[in-house]
Amino acid sequence: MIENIWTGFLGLLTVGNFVFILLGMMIGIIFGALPGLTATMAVALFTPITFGMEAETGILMLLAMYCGATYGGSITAILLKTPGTPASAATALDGYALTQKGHAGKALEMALYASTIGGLASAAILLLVAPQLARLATAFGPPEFFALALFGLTIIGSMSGDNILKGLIMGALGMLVSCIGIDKITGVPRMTFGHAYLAGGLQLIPVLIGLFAIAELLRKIEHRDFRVEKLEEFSSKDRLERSEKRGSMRTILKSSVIGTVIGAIPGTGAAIASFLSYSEAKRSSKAPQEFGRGSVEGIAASEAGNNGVTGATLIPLLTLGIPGDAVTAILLGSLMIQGIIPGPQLFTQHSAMVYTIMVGLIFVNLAMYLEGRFLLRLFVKITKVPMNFMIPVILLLCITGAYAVNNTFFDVVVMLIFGIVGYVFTRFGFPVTPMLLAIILGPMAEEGMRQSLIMSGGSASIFFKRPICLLFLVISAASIAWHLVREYLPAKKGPEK
Amino acid sequence: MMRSTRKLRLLALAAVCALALSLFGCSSGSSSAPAVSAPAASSAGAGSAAEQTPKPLDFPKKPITIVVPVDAGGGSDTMARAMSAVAEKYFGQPIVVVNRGGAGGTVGTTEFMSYEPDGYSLLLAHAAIFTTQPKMQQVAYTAGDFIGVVGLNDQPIVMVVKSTSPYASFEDVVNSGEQIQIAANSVGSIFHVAAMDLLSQAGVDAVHVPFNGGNPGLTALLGDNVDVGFFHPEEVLAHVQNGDIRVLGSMTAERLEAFPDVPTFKELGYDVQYGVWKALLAPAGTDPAVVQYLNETFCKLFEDPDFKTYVENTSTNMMPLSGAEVDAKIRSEVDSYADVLSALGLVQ
Amino acid sequence: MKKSDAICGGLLFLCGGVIYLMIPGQIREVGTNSVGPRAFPTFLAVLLMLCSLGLAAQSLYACRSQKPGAAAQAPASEKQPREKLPGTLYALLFYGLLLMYAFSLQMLGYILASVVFLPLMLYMLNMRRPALYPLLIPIILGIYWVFQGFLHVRLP
Repeated sequence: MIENIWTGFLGLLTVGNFVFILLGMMIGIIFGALPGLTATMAVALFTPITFGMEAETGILMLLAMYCGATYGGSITAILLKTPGTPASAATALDGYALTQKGHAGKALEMALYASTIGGLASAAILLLVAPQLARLATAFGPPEFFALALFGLTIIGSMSGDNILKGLIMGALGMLVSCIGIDKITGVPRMTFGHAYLAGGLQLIPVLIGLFAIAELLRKIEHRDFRVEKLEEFSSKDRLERSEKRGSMRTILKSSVIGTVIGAIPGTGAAIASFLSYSEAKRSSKAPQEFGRGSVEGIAASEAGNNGVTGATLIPLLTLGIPGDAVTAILLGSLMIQGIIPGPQLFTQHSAMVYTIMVGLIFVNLAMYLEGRFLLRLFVKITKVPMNFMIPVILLLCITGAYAVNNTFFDVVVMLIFGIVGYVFTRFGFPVTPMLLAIILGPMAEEGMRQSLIMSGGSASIFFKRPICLLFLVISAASIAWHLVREYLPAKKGPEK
Repeated sequence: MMRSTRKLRLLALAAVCALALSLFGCSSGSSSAPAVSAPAASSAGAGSAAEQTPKPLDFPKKPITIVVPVDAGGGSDTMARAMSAVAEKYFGQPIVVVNRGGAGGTVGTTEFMSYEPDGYSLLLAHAAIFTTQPKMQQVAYTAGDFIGVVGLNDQPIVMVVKSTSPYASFEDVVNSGEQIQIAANSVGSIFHVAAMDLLSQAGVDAVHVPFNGGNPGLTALLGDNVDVGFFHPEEVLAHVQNGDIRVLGSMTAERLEAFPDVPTFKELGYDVQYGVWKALLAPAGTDPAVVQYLNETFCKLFEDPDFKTYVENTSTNMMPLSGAEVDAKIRSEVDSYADVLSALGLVQ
Repeated sequence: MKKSDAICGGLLFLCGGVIYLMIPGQIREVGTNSVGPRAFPTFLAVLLMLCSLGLAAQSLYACRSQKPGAAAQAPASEKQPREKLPGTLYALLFYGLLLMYAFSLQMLGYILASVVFLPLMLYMLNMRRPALYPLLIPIILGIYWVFQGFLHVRLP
């Protein structure tokens, strides 16, 4: 094992590798930051460029883009309350609150810090225990996916702000939205009104941009929030305190683990990991009321969680040849075109290359930290640009991004519809995040449940006979109970605190 | 239904075209009469001189786009990207891959109908778009809205189990009399249709657990969540070599090179031959000279050494049909799945 | 905000009801399972109706128990009375402009539509520094080039 790591490290040491890692990281961060552009898009668009390169260099560049984009989403989430990628939606709440208090630098720094540690942890785990974790990938069958999605949905409780009913309503609406399209289990069109485009369902990115970006921009306009954010220079006054760093370390590590585990399971993604980490951090925090109002710990949890996925998501790809999400699916294609077939034999046939990639991933995360710090000053300056100039520019980017996802104007329409929907809802105090959560997790829950029932011939006992599934169901039930207790008990007990 | 007369006319026209153009296949490199498949066109074979097809004037002078009607990362997508990797050598312009996934390929195809028939946009269509999807949902397109440019590949389907499974051969499955749970891609996919066709012929009681693609199904199989799976050989090749998966049979006319010990279902007595084919199409009305040029250039591209490496690594079964052959194939298969689909209760 | 909650609750209840009634028409029931394509949406529609009823009930109850102070709840749009237009209306007007821009993309093409509408947006947002208006043009062109020219992503 050690010799392999050493060989991998030596294989890494070429100028080409470092140049392209840095370049890819820069591109990735930009793509992640811009609303409408995602990690998947970056990887897809730049894959052709990698064909002329050595296999490792190409893969490392794409991985750098992936990690960078996962981190980059937090930048706009913090500065503009519009997550650049779905994975940073949980960061937007606390991040923006901090920006409004004038502490954008602190938030950005924590996001970078947590993302890097999450990524490093994930890369390290990938390097050391990939084959063992691969077993986790196959252990997840439909019942487990259902239970995991259900657990994820209970998080809506903690994302609902003050009123759980409102959160549930948004969640229900979100899941109804996700039902639009062709039912995957029976092939029956649902709520498509015979419209060809609706048959494909609503894409996540236009919905995300609409709900978060457009709605937020409309809110800013409503409040005539055009003033330049009063913001400290990114100076010593706006740095993270050491105590804050230390205090959040436990959360960061826990979230990294959550991210890694989720990443290893094919079919999940960074967004789910970030929400789960955020929710868990809030639950176990000493200051849960701060979450949503500017908690640095919240940012740490969300960002460590989403970057924790980056290394682990390669595990099912490299060990089983099964991609875990869209990005790895594209990487799989790239590898195949280069002549490398991922799968059980990869470690024996192309051991040097695999280890170079895994060791390289550690450097990718280090590069992320370096470039991130360098760019932080730049990003903070963006808040100095008058908002009324930024708004049209951001809108231009949003529209471009929404169109670019699938090259169709329909997505722009979707974005606009959800923009007004999001605006109206936030106007009346309904939280938008549960809707996003529901749109992401709803299909996983429904599909898992129905597949499981097909497998069991209609009997619900299948959910209780499988240990992992049962575990998640119990956690979900406990989570719901916890919320109910927290919601109603203090009222009964009176002013006890 | 409503379009039966039009379909009949199309079929007749296609038959005439196919007959007239069957001499002008892909690999011959000789010239061809303009390929006519738009219904409004005049009779086929209005001959031009029999010289080497000259490169159409000014084509291509900007990048060519291939629309892939599935999400990034699937088999179609990878093939498109593999082609784009070497394209510039042959076309002088890059090939750009654009994804527009959804609803089994129908959304991307519907959108493609609105593209200009100028030869710069091609659709990477797979079989189900024309054979099964139109039966299961309302689609806005017909085969006549497109013309074939070149056939791509025809991937066979194999039936596999995990090595730890009690079934050592297909006979075991049949004789066991137990109900099995199968993974065969999504509902209405060629895999699903093929699997149910085979299993109902063999009298096996099977429950189809739908999965969104080959990979989730493979994961399920490896995790012992289903008993049997139906995949393309390339999807399971690595696992077979590693000893994790056993192939029980292949739905082909002859034994596969990659699995010389695996019997075809034909040998076992079941006449099931299914494959998923893919082809490049252009909007109807594209200049036939352009189509012919594209066809020939793609055929050259398929011989590219880098591309061939990709083909070998993925055991892709290339099927470089001419444009007219593609059209004929589509039309001949439009109804061939109707029976099995209605037996499955999927016909709208 | 309590009063508006009740109204929202009521409206959402109606939405839920509409969806519930729409389901049989829109979704063909298929398959032998008890959990078919209709199950989930039906469950969700019912959940929506229950929750929105709960919300309405909750806010009416809260209204009743704080009657004296409740009347003073001013709608949020009047928070900044010093401006000419109420904020919500302003936002909606802007949204209208946005819609016009979006639909003009198909007709005028990306660059032309952007060059026409983005400055209009700036104007509507009270941007009074004329120097910044022309700055939009290189930005629009730059983004166009990056996407269409460099990344070969189709734009309208």
